[in-house]
Amino acid sequence: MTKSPFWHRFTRNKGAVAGTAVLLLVVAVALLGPWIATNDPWAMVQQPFLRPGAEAGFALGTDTLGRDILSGMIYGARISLLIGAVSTVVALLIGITLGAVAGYFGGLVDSALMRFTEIFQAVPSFALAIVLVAIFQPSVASIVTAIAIVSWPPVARLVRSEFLTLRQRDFVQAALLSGQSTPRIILTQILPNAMSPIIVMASLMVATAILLESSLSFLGLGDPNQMSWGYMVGSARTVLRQAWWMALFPGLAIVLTVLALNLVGEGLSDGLNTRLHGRTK
Amino acid sequence: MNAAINAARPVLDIVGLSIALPAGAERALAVECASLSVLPGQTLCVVGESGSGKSMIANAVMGLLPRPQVAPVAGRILFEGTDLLALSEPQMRELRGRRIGMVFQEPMTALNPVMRIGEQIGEVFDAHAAMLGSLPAAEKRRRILAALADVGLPDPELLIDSYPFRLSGGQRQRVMIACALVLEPVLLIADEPTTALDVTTQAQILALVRELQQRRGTAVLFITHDFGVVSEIADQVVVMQAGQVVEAGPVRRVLDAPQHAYTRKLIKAIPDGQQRAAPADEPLRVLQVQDLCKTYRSGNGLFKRGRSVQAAKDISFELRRGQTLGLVGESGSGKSSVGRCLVGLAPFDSGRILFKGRNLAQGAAFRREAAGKIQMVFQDPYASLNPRHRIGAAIAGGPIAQGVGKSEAMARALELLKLVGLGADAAQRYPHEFSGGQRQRIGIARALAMQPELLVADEPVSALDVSVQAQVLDLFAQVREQFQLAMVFITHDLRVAGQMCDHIAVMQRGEVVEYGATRQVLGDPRHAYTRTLIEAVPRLAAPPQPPQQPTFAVA
Repeated sequence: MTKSPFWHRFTRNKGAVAGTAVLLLVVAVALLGPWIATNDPWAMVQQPFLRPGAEAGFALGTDTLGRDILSGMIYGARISLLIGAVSTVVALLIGITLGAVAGYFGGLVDSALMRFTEIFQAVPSFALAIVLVAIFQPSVASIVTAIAIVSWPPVARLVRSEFLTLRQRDFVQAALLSGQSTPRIILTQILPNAMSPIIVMASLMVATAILLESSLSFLGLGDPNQMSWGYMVGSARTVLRQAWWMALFPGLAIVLTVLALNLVGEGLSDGLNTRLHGRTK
Repeated sequence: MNAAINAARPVLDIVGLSIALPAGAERALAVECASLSVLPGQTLCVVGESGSGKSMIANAVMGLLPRPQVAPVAGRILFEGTDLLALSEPQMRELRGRRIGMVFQEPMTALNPVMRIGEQIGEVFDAHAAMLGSLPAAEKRRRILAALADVGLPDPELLIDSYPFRLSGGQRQRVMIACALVLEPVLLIADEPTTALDVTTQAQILALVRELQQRRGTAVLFITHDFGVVSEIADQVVVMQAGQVVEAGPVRRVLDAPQHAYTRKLIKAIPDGQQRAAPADEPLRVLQVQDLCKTYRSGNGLFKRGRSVQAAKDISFELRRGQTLGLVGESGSGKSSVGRCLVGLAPFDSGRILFKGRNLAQGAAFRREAAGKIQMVFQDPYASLNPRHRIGAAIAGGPIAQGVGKSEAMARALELLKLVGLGADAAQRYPHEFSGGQRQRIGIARALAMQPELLVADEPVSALDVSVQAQVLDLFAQVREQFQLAMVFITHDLRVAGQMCDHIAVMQRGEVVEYGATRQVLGDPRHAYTRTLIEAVPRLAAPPQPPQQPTFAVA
């Protein structure tokens, strides 16, 4: 597959291009955070309840304790993206492994793994995440673990169904006949052909993970040492009627980032749709 | 079929038709300046390979082109004197079904699975209720029953209230024909109506079309890729190549004395069933199959017994080095299941498979013991290559898995690519850059890379155009001689089997009904089923019945 048809299809989706732009901006802010932010997000640097633009250097105002909201949002981008990306990677590792094994071997293995998956799907995912974080003490590691544990089952189901159809293909049969080992067939023959839907799903999972992290922080289950968007919205909810900006700006950041990720996911699904690629019709 | 008709005005007259393809397609015009005319009561066959634009013409007549991407840009389609291209969509809708009927290739998907047969045919009446006046229900039912009886379906009273899944492919195609003919159109367009059917069913459908046409005087535009079918059914032939009409004329003239080089090439490419000289009897038995049984069970649940289908019942044969056995049968006869058992891709219930005298166990152990010396060439050249792997890596992958060094395996892959007629640069490309025939060559190269002693080929040419088919068959014959391969050749086409095989086993419903040397099986068939199969093969030669139209009668 050459690059150009993918880019052609991807860029035809205007929303995806806009989403990519927003996402790149957020990533840049997250990477350059410490150099852009003018203040420590936890330091009380000005009088509290400062309106946006009221004081030079505090474009988005200050919160109830006089902390700089803009700096908080910049540091929040770091933690949101970090947790979104890492938990997605962990969830993919679990989901792809279980799904691939279940789909490839079928039969009893498949039944056992799918019943195991259903246990996780039967519990409401947010409730499970709350319980897990509460048990393990809130920290970045425990939040990542909790989010990964609640979000791998759909990946396993997707990968399993892809494997179920792909393993019937003639090229897999040919690889079997030539004596290639099972891990080799799974990793080099089948998995590359199942990657497109997995990538699309991953981009949406990052969005869900960011929302989950924000929700946990909103409930006070975030990492106490890390400023995050969800925590900012949560701490502002008591003063929502006096100081709208404290909740609005971090909330907007969450909405825009999640929207951007969804748009990119949609664009990827257009771009990676090479099912008919190379066929005559 | 008499000379007086020839003076009549053509039902369909296509003049200088050109159809444009969207930008970026492999050629600018799908059909270029094509002209043809169909006379009342006659059959015009449009024949050509895939991509020649023959179906485009049919769709243009019906107004079914996917406009605006694909649209006619020049020419006229005159149907009884009216230009169809100038008609509006509502006007076209009035013609479709009432004046022009159409039958599609795939009978399995052409019927709505949740509608009863009678309702589907009844829709044709309802659609034209404005023109015909709506019929009383009893009258409609009577006409539907008559239509079903007319196409030779048994028990129309029963069929009219059944759902499509109860019908076989051939019966569904009969329903489609009944649908197309129920309002007695003057023109019937049939787009490869028998391609998806078994050879015996094909013969029945062709006989039906011919019979209906003679009885009703319907003009037929018949699209096909098979010259055998042309010979059976056509009065006039139009040969198309890459969107252009290269030859047109009465059927016997075109088939017996083709003018254009392309027509000659196509006719020459048809497997003639000419048998090859039997090789000297090698002492080494590569494959012995003894009493092989295989049953598929489906829907076996905790509380219900599943259905079971016996795909192989006491199959026995043997194969020596350098020889080829043909497994011949219609779809569902179990020939592919036997093939999959032979290579160890499917488990079998009982019986023994001996490879070079050694009994092979079941499942993964089977493949380990065979160590890649039993290889398979698959039917669908589009599904048999991993779309994400370069060709070179795909061919070298097997030997590398068996412990051959990487550079040595790649060198061998390049050699094999050259052997199967592709350049060494093919190794760096991906499967989608190749045509069906080229992919099948790659599939053969991949099998040969394992230095196999037994090659099982499962319908390796049935997805290919006839000229490509001939080349691939030649390649099979060439590598068989070169590597002294034993081959099991699975096919539904007796002509191909006759050309390729030393022995033939004819299978019907999981059983071998006849097994013997090719000459004996094809020349002097013992079993009634074998005779039916042989008779059903469309032949190029003139049909023997006397009312032969003199070749010069039609201008």
